[in-house]
Amino acid sequence: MAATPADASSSSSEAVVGGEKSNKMITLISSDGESFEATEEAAKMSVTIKHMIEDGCADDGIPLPNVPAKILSMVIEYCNKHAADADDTNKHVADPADADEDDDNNNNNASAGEKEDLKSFDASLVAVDQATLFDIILAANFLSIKGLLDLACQKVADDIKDKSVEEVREIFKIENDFTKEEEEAVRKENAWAFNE
Amino acid sequence: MAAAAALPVAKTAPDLPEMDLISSLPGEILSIIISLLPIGSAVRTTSLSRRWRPLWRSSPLNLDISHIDGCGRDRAAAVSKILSDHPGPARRFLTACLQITDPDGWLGSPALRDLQEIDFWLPRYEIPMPLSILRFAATLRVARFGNCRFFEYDAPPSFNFPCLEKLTMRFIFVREDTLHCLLDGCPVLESLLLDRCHGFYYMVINSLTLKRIGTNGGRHGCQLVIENAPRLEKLIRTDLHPESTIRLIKAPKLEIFGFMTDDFTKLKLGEWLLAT
Repeated sequence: MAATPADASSSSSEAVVGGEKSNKMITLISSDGESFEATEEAAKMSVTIKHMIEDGCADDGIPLPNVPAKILSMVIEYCNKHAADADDTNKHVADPADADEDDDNNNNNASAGEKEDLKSFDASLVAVDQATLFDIILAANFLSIKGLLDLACQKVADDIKDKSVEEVREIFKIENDFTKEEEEAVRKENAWAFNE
Repeated sequence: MAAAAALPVAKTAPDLPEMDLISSLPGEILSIIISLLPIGSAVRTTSLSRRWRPLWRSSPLNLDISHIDGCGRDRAAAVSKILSDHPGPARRFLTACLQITDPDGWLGSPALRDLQEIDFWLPRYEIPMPLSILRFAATLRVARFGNCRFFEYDAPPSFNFPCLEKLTMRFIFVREDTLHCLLDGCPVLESLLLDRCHGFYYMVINSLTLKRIGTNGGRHGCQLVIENAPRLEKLIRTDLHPESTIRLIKAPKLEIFGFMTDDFTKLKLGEWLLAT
């Protein structure tokens, strides 16, 4: 399933005539010049890439100057895993409340076991150091892959929530550049939130 | 079986960064992250640093009142403060745990502009749903209403909820014509849950989009007619009223159809049905 760097000159395109889901391979080129192949179906999870394909700009490979190879391969892994499950790429924002609901119930596209697999995969994809996580976020934002952006942002939110201000500063190395007066004023603005 | 669970942020985590990476993410991304936080954590981000101070106010408001500590009065005071402080727009406003003393005041707040998800309970069953709830009709995707009389005397000529996908009504009095008018005004509705509602003896479902319907009995029997529901997959009924009937005319995709016995009444109907 992992995307492997491919020789840009080898072509393995196989268009399925007339079908919505073609087996055509799309070449994506990272900022450091590595080429990766992905199915058109997986690549189209990126709205940005989808538009480029539809505009006919994808034939010679798509350069992605903002996305380094390490991150691009993770992004493609995500798209491969989720392409089969996607109803459409414009699912609305993942709702934290939904996470509490019973996931064993059927979705149209995945059995309960497959959903568990996806959840595990997603969790391990974002269990990375901060630098990598933020790079994934930036790539998902640039490529307009909503599910991945939501997933990675939710991971950051999970690391922030229910922690004290001091703890959050420590985890993210955020420097407190307030003056004493400023900081007092901020805390007074919403005193109810600061009963630490 | 993949082993990875979400790792808690360890006290001795080796991957703490050398420098502040998060603050250099674009503001629009920090806004997404902040709008995923429970309200207390979200507000506290204002005191992280100067960069962070304005960000909560420019991220969509995510206000689930159950995440505010304290007694009812403390919570109400905090909510009033938040609604006066945040310029909007809002993503969520969940009030299920609180007795709201000033529903109109809160619903009219600019902070709730463009609201997408609402959970709104009135303090007493006899109270009418405020007209101001319709302010959010154009943007609501998920709506849960409880404990009120739904437009008993002041129903508009038509309802228009172009984005509403999930609708839950609990302990609500709604007239039959109003209920049907409401359903007619929900062109993309996928889930409908009516829990201990009454005021209607007859409910006709004619929907190109509904996938899941649940009804949990009211005070009197109700005839449920599925006239045309090409996408309906689940239909669950728990009221055991002797005068209740279901008539299925056209529901070609219906997979799950049942009356739930007492064994199932422990199951929380809403969560089971509305999980996607």
